[in-house]
Amino acid sequence: MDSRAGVMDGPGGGPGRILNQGLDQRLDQILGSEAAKRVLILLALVWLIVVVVLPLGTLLLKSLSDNQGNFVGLANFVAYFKSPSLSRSIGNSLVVAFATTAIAVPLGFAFSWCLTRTCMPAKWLFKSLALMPLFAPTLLNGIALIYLFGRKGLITTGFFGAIPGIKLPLYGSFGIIVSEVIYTFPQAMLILSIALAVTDARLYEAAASLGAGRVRTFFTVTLPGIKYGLVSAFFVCFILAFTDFGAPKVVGGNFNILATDIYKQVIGQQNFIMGAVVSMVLLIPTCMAFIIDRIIQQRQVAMIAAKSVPLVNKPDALRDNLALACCGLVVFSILAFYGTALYASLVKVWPYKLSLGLSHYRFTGMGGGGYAAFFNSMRMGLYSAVLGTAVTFFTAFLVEKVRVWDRCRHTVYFLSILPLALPGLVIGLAYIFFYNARGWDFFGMFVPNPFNFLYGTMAILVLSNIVHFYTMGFLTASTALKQMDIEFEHVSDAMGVPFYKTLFRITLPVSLPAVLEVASYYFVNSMATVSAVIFLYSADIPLASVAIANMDDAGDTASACAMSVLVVFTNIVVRLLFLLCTKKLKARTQAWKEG
Amino acid sequence: MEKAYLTLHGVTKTFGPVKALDQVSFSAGKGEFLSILGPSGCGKTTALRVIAGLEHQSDGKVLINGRDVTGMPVSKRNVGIVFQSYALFPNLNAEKNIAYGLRGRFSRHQINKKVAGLMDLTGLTGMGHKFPSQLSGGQQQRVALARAMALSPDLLLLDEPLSALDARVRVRLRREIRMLQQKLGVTTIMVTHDQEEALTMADRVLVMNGGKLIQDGTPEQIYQTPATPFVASFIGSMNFFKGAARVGDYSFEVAGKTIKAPGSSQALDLGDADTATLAIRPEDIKVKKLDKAGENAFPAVLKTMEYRGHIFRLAFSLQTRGLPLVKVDVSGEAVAALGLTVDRPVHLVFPPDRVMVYGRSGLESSDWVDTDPPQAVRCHG
Amino acid sequence: MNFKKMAMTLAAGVMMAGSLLAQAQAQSLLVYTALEDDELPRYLALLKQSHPGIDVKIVRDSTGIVTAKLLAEKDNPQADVVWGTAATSLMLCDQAGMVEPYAPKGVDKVRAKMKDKNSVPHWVGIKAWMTGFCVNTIECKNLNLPIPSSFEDLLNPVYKHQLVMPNPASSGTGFLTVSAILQIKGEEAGWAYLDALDKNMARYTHSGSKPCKIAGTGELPIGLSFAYRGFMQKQKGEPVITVFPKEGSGWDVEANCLIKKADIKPDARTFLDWAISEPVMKAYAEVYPVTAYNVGAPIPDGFPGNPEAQLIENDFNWAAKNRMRILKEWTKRYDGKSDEK
Repeated sequence: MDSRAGVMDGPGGGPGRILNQGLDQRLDQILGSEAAKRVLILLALVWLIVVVVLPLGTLLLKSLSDNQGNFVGLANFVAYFKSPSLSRSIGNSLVVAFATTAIAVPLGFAFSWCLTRTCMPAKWLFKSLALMPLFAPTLLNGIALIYLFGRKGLITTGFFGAIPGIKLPLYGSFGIIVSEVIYTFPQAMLILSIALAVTDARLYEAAASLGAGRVRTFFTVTLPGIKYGLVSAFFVCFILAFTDFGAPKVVGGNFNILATDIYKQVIGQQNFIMGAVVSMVLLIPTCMAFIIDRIIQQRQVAMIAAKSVPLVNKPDALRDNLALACCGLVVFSILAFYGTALYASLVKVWPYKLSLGLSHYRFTGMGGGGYAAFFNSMRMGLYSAVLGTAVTFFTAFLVEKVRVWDRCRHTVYFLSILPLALPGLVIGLAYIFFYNARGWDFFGMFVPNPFNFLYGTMAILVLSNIVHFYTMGFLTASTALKQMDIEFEHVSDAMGVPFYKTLFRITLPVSLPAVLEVASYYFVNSMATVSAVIFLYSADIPLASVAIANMDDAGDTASACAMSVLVVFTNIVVRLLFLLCTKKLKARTQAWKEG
Repeated sequence: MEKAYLTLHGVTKTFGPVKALDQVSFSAGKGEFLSILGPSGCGKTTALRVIAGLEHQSDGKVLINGRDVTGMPVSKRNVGIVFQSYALFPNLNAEKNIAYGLRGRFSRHQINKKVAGLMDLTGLTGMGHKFPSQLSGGQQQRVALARAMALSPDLLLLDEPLSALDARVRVRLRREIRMLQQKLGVTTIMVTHDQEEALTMADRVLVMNGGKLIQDGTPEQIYQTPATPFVASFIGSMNFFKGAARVGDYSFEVAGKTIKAPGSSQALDLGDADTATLAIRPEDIKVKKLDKAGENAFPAVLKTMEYRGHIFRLAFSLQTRGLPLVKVDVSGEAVAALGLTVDRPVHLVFPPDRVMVYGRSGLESSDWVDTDPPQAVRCHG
Repeated sequence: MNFKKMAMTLAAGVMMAGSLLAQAQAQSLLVYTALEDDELPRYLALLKQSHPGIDVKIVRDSTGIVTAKLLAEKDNPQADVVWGTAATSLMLCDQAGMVEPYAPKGVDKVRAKMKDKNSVPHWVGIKAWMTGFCVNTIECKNLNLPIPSSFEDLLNPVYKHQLVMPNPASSGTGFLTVSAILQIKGEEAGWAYLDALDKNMARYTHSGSKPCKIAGTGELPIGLSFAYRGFMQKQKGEPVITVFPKEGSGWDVEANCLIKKADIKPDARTFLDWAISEPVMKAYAEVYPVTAYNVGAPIPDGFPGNPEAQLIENDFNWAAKNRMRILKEWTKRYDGKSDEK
């Protein structure tokens, strides 16, 4: 039966059709069918199992086995907890994470409050500058601290004797916490400024009409309105500070924490089993934080359903000036912090020859790989951005828009947000175990590992980055897709247009800003990350971030600093390019966005 | 009616424990315009989606043109759908939206011709290069309609097509859609919660509630002889008298008052039941001067008056415990002629042929109100 | 989107994935080494000159790390050869059965003390490296610290928290220093000395060169490191001098060996031949005073006139045999202050 001939053409519209469309149409039929959708969802599931579940499972198994691969139950964990030099790190990590959270969240809140509740000038500038730490490897935070608070640091020596110096106990918990606060502050600030931005102005008007003062309004309207944001900020800061490895590696001194213990066990002593055990110990609080956050965030859905009226702030000279002073101080500190790093990378011999030059940017005669490493990192960032964006967007698309096989899709969703709870070191170690295995014995039958060829290649680095930053990409794409009318797919279905055509003609173009956002996120983070790749890079693919770690290890701090500066600079340029693209895109799509 | 073009046969759809559709059966003739009417959550949209193939029924059959389409995806059913949100692609202009399903199926020349024809037909000429966000709500609606019609579907499915529009535009578009539908002769199913829309546009109205099809009839049948108290209350206004005791074949007693209802066909269906619910529409009640007593005439006192433009909505107390206020619609002239003012005693006359009688099952549901009908009314008979 | 565009996108994706995978396939010689980063380029330039066909992939790390890595990969060895890594470490690998004996061309010229005793040697040395103190003269002046000239001097309480030395578990230099002390003083007195030294130690680093670099930046005034490092830092303009302790310097032979694996590449043997050939030996001699055989080069600037006299009587076999025990004991006593890794 063919009734598509059409009323408009009258009966017999058939002959007018294009004849050479056989292939195209057969492809439509295959790709557009329900079976194809199921296959795609199944593929997404298999992909996540291979890159998330199996490596993690292998890691868990390793933590329960001895060096020979025999199952020993919890023996390794018993050994771990019996050795105080190791288990002491749990407390240390918790202290660092809680202290960081306790400082970064209020700081982030104050900053975002100033951005959203006052009329202080140049908000966008303050916000952009406060985001600086997002572009830097956390190793740089430690390195910059050495140049500020080390024995020969600017602050310690009072700018080389110009003013009285202040001595602070840099190496240890103090240095780590300061680094982590700088690292997590922008994250808290971003989350909270989004939360503050969606608060309903009518609530403030109601409170004012009921005679509530500023303080009462703050506690009855402002705080409850952002409680989910606060919870989120709390857990994000906690997880980041709890699992970060870069800064503690540089300024940890003899203050051992879990993340550096994993590294020490794996790289320093090549004790992979104990590395797996510490990884598991690291995962427990992280996963708990992740689960609690998930549960709490799920309650939120009902609350925000109603449309709210945006808040318009009224000028208030005192408040606005105070806000300006606060934000100014924060931004100045951040700028001074990275400014010091830039300066230190240019000084010839700190602190003896303060003349400036680019000698530390030559990277000759030291480890790490120099510019080869830098360009490898750029390539890796690029690959991760392109492939990571494609994969996360497509997964999000399958989860949000292809409404078949609900249970399978929910599993895909869960596995897509799970990486948020996985520290880079854990991913790196799990990948060593899983991808480096030559095969597995299943009841006496040897099954070779089909993924073994990835080990030691650029591909596994890109893969680890894709997974490490999967959740943010996935959630960004998924939010963009959620905002799109679900009926788009139905309309296309009804017209017999296969879903992939709608994906390319409608869904992708409409969500292009989100796609670009995800890509730039992937690039920036892949450039800066050290934790996952430090276990996975191979000698012929050196990476910038690993080079920073190795140069710092070898004592070439100035060059490590120089490399970090290059990374930050590249990331800022990429981010600016992104903003430019988005702006151009907005101008181009203005026609269909207005109204 | 012609041979059925679309048939639903005992269609049931469950979402977990919830029965969204419960044994729904109906059919539509070729070229017929059917409207499915009901409160939100009654299952009407689910019915539409099952017909479209966007959902698949748990049980029962859907036939289009005699062919069982059960399990067939939407892309194979040759249906055109207009969604409540229109779902116009924001990045494509009006022309490209309309041409969306045509690409790859027809030559460029044919597509242009078809699109021009559709734009002309829907009164969109000259709007082709505008993006949806640059069009008014009514224009967007037309684009959605033109897009749905582009592939000359066998069935046109409209899901609350006018609910997003201003009242005025809505009234105009009702007419336009109906005219277009008749011109093209496409079998159309429209889902709506707006009784006026259903009554004015459709050839036949299906009233649904709680997943069940309650009544299937022409607009007149639905309005004049609602099958259940639910239908009666959902469409138009209605006065109900619950717990009427049956005192004769056609006479009932409520709170000591005897009401005769000889014309009601439902009364015959009561069987052995000894209680019933009586109902009468506000516009059917006559207001008489106090001295004009007679059959089905009851003394009453005017409590409130509501000016509604073309009529007055009056509320009377029958001054008997246990009886609700009685709503009565009268013209302004009648109010003036009778000199009606609040607290003024009068006689209300219920013309016996206008009194409807509902059996026991109708009694189970409690409070019917015009705007918020009960959810758990069971179909009776 | 039509079929062609889609096919092109797919093809581009496949090509990208393909190029990523292709990088995995390159066959090259995997060389593990503990030679310093700043020495490697000049040696590798020589290799490229004489053997342009050999594609080497260098994995460089501290001696301890290289050793641990080698031992960890025992069942599935990755490296083809080990180059310029402490002989004591190679002995450990030898004990683990990982070494394939090989007599490179010109091995006869190598001093008997600097190669394995077997007729087909399991390892062959290239040069000796010795420990020394890196002392920042400016900082010592600022802090009013005397310049130490012996191990004994380092126990002076004025140096409290002013010293830095490498962790022997990860650094070859660190192990040399510890093993030298234990050999000079005897075990008991040696540990007592180390206990006292620990009181003056600010931190232990993972790398052997880092203490010297820390001294170079003045972060701490005195670093226990090795001679080569100190001279290089001085060349860069840092105010450091290298002090050779009166008691003598710990030293070790940096040696090469062939790793036993299923498919030993012919290039591996060629590489080992080259690694003790005269041109590269001359390059070693430019910065190290004691090489595997005499190439007639002058002693590099800053070393004592008779460098060999500065070396203690080092019993490599004792060191290799006791290495694990010493490290375990050391870790138990002092690891809390260690840098990460």
